[in-house]
Amino acid sequence: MNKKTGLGFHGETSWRCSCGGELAPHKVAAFYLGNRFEIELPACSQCGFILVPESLAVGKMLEVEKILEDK
Amino acid sequence: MERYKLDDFEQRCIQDELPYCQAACPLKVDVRAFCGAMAQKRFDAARKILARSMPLPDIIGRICDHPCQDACILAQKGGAISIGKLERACLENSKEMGMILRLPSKKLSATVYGAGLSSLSCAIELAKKGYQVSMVFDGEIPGGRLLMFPQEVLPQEVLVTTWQNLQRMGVTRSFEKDPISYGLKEGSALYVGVDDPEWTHLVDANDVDPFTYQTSTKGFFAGGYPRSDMPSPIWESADGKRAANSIDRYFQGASLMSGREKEFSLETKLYTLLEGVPTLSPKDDPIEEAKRCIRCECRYCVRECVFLEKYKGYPKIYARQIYNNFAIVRGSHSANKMINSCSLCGLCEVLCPNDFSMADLCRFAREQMVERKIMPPSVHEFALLDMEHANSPRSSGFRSGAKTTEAVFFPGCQLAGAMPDQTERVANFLGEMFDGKMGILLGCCGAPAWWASRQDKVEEVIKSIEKTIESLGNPTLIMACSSCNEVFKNFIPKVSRVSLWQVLLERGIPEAKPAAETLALHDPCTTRHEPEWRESVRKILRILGQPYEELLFGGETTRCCGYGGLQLMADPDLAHEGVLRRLKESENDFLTYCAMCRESLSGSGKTVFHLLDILFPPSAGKVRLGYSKRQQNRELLRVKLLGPCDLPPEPWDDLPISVSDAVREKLEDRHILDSDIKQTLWEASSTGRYLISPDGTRLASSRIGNVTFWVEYREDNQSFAIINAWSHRMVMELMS
Repeated sequence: MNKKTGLGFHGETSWRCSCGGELAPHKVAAFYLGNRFEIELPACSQCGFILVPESLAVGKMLEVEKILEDK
Repeated sequence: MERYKLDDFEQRCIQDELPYCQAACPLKVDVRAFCGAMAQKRFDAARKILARSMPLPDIIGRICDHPCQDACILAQKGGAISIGKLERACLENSKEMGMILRLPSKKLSATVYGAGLSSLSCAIELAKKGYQVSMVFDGEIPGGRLLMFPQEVLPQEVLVTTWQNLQRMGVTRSFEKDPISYGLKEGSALYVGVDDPEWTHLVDANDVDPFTYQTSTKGFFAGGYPRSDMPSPIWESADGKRAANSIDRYFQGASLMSGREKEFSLETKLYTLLEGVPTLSPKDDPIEEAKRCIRCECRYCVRECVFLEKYKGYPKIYARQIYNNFAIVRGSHSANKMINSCSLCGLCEVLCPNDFSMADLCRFAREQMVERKIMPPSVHEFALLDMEHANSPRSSGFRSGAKTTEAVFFPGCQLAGAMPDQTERVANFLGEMFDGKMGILLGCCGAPAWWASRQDKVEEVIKSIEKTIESLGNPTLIMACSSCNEVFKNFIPKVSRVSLWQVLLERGIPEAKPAAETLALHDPCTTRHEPEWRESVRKILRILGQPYEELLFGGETTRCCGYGGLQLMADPDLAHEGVLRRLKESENDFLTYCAMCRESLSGSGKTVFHLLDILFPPSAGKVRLGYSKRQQNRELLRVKLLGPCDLPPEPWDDLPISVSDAVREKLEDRHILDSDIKQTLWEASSTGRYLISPDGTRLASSRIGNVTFWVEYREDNQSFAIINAWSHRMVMELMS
């Protein structure tokens, strides 16, 4: 979880990747309008497919996007 | 935003103008707040309000000749508020205020001649400002004519206490009789209150400046002249107070006149609507009487607009907030959402007695935001992409008439999207009427780009339309949509335009069966300044025998459906609130003649007809279609009216998807189109990259433009059943 933005996701996920890999928490860089945050998200250990869960996308992430847009 | 621009906007809003009573009061007593405190039985607070402007509330409050009362507009609603009576009641029921605060002592001194109210007022005001004041008067205590009032009106104790208070504030008594021969020392001034007859002879009335109260001798001031046959205590006091202000300025070497307009003016530009105010006669009980005060203010525009209401202020405040939005160097542009939420409908400008236009202000602010590259990218992007779709070769195009091209039918992208079958039928009907001399032009007029203040995009669209019209020999455009009409009127005013409704009136109305019930007629906000459009529609309705009801806010004062100015994009909840408010204005179902109005007003509990629903009844019901369906409809209509376009289909176009109503609603709210979903599914199928859940549903993702889409789905033999979808704009990268 990024302390500044509150972005990130630590919930259990039952999704598996189509490549056969398991999803595990990974460090991910999130970019928007020239800003960069380091956050933790579930990603496939084999192919690197990053999951952005719905709750995060329509919740905190949307909120941060709007804050950055108004900066 | 430049300062002068702000001033120009601010000056137009009259909400901060003084209420009628306060403007009429020479002392500018805040009567509105005073009545408010009295209505709540807060007598001490009410007394404090009097004391803020009155030099001697204990005296004036008892004998005030209340010119405010003559200015009270409730005279038209049962009777003016008895403000004089309320002042008395306040003094009788409130506690003494105690010591009056005085600024630190100054060495400069003033001599005040006379025992009347003007002299007392001048003395106390100068003493408050810290000057050394001495009073010259006859008798034991000052008061002059005030001592003649009956005891029950103005008890003598009040005058005794007043003199004691003045002395406590450092005012002394002098017996110097002749101010002129005595001469003026450096650093001193004098005032003669001629409301005390004893001193009238000392000053020539013609020698006194009516605003500054200074005589031709510098430092020598006089006031308290009668203004009518009857003495006026409030004016006497105001003279003394104003002269004290002049003396203060004189001592400071400042201009005696500049910046005092508000102090002197008895005028106000305030506008208070009395509609809906009950007619009530004056009450004997002072509390009940104070409750009758309606606290005059304007806020006419605010009351009638969900947007202006939402931000809890009024246009003058909003202009300041918008100015500040551009002035900040760091931090959040907190007014962005407000600026983008105005529907630009122009109702406020029509209602405002001073023509304040929030639309002008917000449009200007949006232009600045785009120019300075601080416009939030997500607000208008979806609408602009929809416009691009409407103007893509798949949805747009034109053809000339079979013989010549006298006229061109321009249905606009919303009618084409929301009512494609009817648009086609209108095109065919008109085609017959014009006997091969009418062409067709499909596409968007550029309104979304104009509303988003994207000048570059408006110009692009307009230029292309202009070129087409020119290539067709400059025919007249038959306009079905009043928003397109407004855009063309603004950007290509020379192009000849006529409303579809006018053409139908002139060339013939199709045989049609009116709806049995009376329908509430909603004029689109872009017909606000188009009386001919509105009248043509009414004529058609009368010819058809369609019963309709005029809404209170119709015609020039009609309301926006929430799509105007892209309000729906910036603040969907607000737009919805506006729809509900509009629909509440009538028990009946609604009738309009703008496809977007029909689309916006539908789906909230009322059937909303488009005039074409009556003239060319649809085979299916009148339901809200949504963004995806409208885009598909435009493409189909293009094929029907102009033939297929040259572009090859997208590889995902034919992917079969099924979407339940509940999911559809979510997709609409989240601005996710079927084309986004299909492209995401197609990419997942092509790359084989997606996620799978234990129960077999899949989750695919794709970056399209500035947005990453996520689609949760289940694949069966025939189609992809869409379970959920969401999106975000941030870009994620795995860190090593």
